Amino acid sequence: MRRVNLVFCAILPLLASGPAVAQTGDCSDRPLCLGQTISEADLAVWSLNVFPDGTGLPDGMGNAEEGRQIYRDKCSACHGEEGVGVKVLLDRGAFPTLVGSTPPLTDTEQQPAQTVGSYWPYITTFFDYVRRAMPFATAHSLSNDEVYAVTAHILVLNDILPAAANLDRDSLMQVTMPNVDGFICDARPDVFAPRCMSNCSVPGDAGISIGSGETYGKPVPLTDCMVR
Amino acid sequence: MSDDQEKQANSETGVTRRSVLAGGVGVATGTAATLVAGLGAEGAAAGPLQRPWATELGDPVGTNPYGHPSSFEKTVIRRPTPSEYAPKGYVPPMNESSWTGTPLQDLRGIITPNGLFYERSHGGYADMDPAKHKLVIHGLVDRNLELSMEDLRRFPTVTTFRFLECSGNSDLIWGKATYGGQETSPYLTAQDIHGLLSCAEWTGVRLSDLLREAGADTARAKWLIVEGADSGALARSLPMARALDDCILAFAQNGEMLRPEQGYPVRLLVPGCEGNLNIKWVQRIEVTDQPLFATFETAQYTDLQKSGKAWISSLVMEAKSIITFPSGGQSLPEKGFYQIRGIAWSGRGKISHVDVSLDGGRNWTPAQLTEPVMSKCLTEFTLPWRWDGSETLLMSRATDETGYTQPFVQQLVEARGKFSSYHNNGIQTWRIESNGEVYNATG
Repeated sequence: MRRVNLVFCAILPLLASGPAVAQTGDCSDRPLCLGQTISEADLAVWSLNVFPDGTGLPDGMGNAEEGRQIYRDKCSACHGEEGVGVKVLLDRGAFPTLVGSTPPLTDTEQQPAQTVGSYWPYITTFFDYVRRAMPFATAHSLSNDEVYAVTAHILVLNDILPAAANLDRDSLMQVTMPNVDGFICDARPDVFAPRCMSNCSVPGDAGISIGSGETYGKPVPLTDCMVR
Repeated sequence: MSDDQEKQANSETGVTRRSVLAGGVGVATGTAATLVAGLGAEGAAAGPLQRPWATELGDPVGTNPYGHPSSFEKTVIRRPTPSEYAPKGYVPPMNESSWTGTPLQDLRGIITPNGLFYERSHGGYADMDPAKHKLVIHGLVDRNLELSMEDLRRFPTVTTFRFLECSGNSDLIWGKATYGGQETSPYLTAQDIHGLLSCAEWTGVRLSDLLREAGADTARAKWLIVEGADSGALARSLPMARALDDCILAFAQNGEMLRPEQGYPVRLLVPGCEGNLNIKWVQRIEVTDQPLFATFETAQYTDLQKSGKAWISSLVMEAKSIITFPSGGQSLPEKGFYQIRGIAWSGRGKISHVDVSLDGGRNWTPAQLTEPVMSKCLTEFTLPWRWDGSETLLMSRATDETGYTQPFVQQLVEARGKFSSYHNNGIQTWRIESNGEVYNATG
């Protein structure tokens, strides 16, 4: 998967002890020879990224019932019992609900709740986020098993997994989120306003055109868009 | 106090008209009034040679080893969104995941002083020991590299002027439908509405140089996952094409090392692109063939469209401008000459025109752009103006070098829907009433 570093392999046996780090100066193939090489093993202990294809998911397993307990102890103060939020916090726009509403989130009178179940496209995003950033004030305090368990509990609350489900790397990758098809590439510039200088139309005038990105003809580069 | 007395008092005490107008009526005029009383007691005849600063020595040189603004400018500070004027459900309950805005209406030129640069963090900000901070680049590279700050600062550097803007900036004026049907307050200032915008001179290392040093496989790798060392390890996916273009790892801002709230000791700068992509406290860059779909590029900071689908991967901040004088919360003391001024910027390049309307958008007059005009940087504009005392609807409208012209907010809402409040680059309207008071008239 990753290219083998020939220089690194060549000098590794020379290091009798200590961390597997090459010394600077042994790098004629590098433009500047600044910084030190670091091994995959040394990196692994603090790599957090979990990708939608499962790359980066750690070993471990959790049960939704265990997750319910962890959630009650460490999450519910902000996110509420059963993931429905805490009213006094919701009134301030904080810590939105983790459950409720279903896609598609079409234009309605009230802003639709954008929850884990109704909005997040991949469950790996949830796992990644909880592991890197939650609980809010004590990040990086949950074990991998606990993150699996909490993830299972939230999926149960969203009726995506059955009660008391177990979750590990393989079963997590079986989960398809309801809003997986809910995202499209940024379409800007989507509105094109001509540079009118006199007797121009203003909002409220009959027939004012909103223009379009096609008129403008300079779409966002496709290389910018996260598509799978 | 008559108008003439107040003018004299302001001029005598060094409280400029600008600071009275811009700093908010409360503090600045209060100061003026106090000093006027003092002058009265000493006798109005006291001339320039009798003022305290003319007859006594000033503070010793070196009193402030790190200087700060005049005490008369103490109202010019970063501020959070005022909860009393914000719609319900707007103010975050945790100061660690919050923001403060730059007092745009009180600044001149294009550079934001470091102490006034807007703040936005999702897990507070730490003051990290640079001797302990490491930056790792790994993944699809010839060699995983770990760099100390000392290593990083030995790379060749570049210095560049760029703006930064939060994608949620100006969402207060997206329209009353967004936040429970509440009208947007007329009392909002430029800082309240648009303050998540700042601009600085940045010095750092080209990201492309770092990728070369690690031997990144740019044929296979299309993305970089950039992660901060803060609580929450905030991460986002950066397209390789942009990384190789003009991104830098910045360690200095306006000549000094970054402030902690800006990601000391090192942050990513993605010119022209929304704030949260500019990862602070950068500790890890993974070179990959796929994006991460991180929380802050999927669950949040994505724009829900009318169709129920949401835009993902938003990067660029489109062309935009605002008038900072006269603007919300200020007032014009009398008819007569004023210089309208403001700032314009585009994430796609240089500003080519800014036009000003005094009649709510029917007719427009080109403003003067102040040199230098730089790409993906604030540009100042001015227009001389004589106010006749009548109610005026004041607007500015930017056009950038790609030919894109800033639209009305209503056009954006019509195209995207009422819940798509990020990336609002619509036209700001200020209403000047006949008594000279200026109010927000957008949203």
